[in-house]
Amino acid sequence: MSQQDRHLTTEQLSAFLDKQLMEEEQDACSLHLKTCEQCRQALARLRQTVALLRALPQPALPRSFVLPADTVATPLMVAEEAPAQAPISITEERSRRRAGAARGRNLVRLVSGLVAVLGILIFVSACPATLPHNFGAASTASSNASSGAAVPAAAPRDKTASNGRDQPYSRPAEGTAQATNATQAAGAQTQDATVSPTPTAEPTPTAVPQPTPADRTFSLPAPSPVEEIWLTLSAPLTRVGLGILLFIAGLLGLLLLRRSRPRAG
Amino acid sequence: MDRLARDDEEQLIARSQRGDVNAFNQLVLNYQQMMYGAVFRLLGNYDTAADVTQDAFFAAFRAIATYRGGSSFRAWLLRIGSNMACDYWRRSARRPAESLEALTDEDEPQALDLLGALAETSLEGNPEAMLLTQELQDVIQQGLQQLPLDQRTAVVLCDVEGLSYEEVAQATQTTLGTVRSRISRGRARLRNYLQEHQELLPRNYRLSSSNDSSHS
Repeated sequence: MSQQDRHLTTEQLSAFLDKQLMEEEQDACSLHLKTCEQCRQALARLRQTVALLRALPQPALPRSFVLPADTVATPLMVAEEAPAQAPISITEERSRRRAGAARGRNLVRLVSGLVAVLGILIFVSACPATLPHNFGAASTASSNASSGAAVPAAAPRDKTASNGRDQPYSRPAEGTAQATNATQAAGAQTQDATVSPTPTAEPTPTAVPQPTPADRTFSLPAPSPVEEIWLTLSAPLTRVGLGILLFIAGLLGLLLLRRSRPRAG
Repeated sequence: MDRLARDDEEQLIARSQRGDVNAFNQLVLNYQQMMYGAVFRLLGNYDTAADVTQDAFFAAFRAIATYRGGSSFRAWLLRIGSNMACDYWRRSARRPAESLEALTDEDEPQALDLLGALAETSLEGNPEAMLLTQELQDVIQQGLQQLPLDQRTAVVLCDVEGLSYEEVAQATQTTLGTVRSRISRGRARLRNYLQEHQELLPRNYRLSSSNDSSHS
């Protein structure tokens, strides 16, 4: 196939002119042009046309096209760096507020749950001192103390004790899903916690109203401010009362949030 | 033409993206000649070109947040400008005064026409210095206006405004292959138009006899 048979197309010539061909093709065209008058002329005409186009002068500017200084970009797409300048839509604002409120609610829910759990812990830790089966296992001093101090409150305490025991299981029905998980886990922990320290904690609450040096030193080896507070809290009545209060506070917090949720939704 | 240093331009673009219209106006001052020139060559009317150019700069300011650094800013601007010009052209009832006649056989050896002579005398030495008379400019402009829009845009951007093939591809949102094809067809059509309408050229530009063949 002779080179004359393969005339270059206009597209080839045009691309050749702009050096837009692959190197091999560019070289092949060069080679062909050396021997083909026809293509050389075609290339020349094309080149002239391009030259004329390039020689066209820029038309004189009729005026300046700068934008007025007070032009505000109503952006088609908001730049990430300038959210403040973009008009916030009403729905966006609402969803932002809702998100913030949801975060606040979640926080209060968490705190209420923790408070309630703490209340249960404190309450239940006071229970062993008053439970009937613990009386037998307690020391003589503690049994005196428990019988003395705990009997007046035994009756209601039994109820509350059983309630306290049941609370971790019944609360899930009242609480929200979040609180449920927290309290169920805490409830299980509470049960475990109270089971194990029961034998050792048992003498502690009963030791306070009728201080037994042996028990006290046994149960409270290191005196410190924290321990002093603990001593105060160790009083079964205090702990029961505190436990109940905290539990009620936590429960209230959760219940109030539940009630307000449909409104804000 | 006075070109902004790349860093300066990037700063101005960044400021414009934050809504600084004064920064954007610095860019306008730098690119308005290019924009107006391209739009005028696409539409052929001075007043219309001015309106479209102004609209294009407003649109560019509103859309500046969509410009991603790393690509050619002038290609980005010309994409907006050429799109608006083409939209205007399609909307308007105007149509080219002359319909394109059948393309002549490319391979037919033609007697050297005016254009060849003109090019020959002017291109020797410094092609950049070639000055065209107003009449010749008008004929070329008419030739451009009878091109299909896509070829016209490609030729104007590449040959009139000096964009690279890559920039033309960016401005027209097409591939390099499409750009290559449109440029070549646009050039060929324009060449044929100019050759066929020599009678539109002033008398003294016409040649009565063919000269020696041109040198490439």
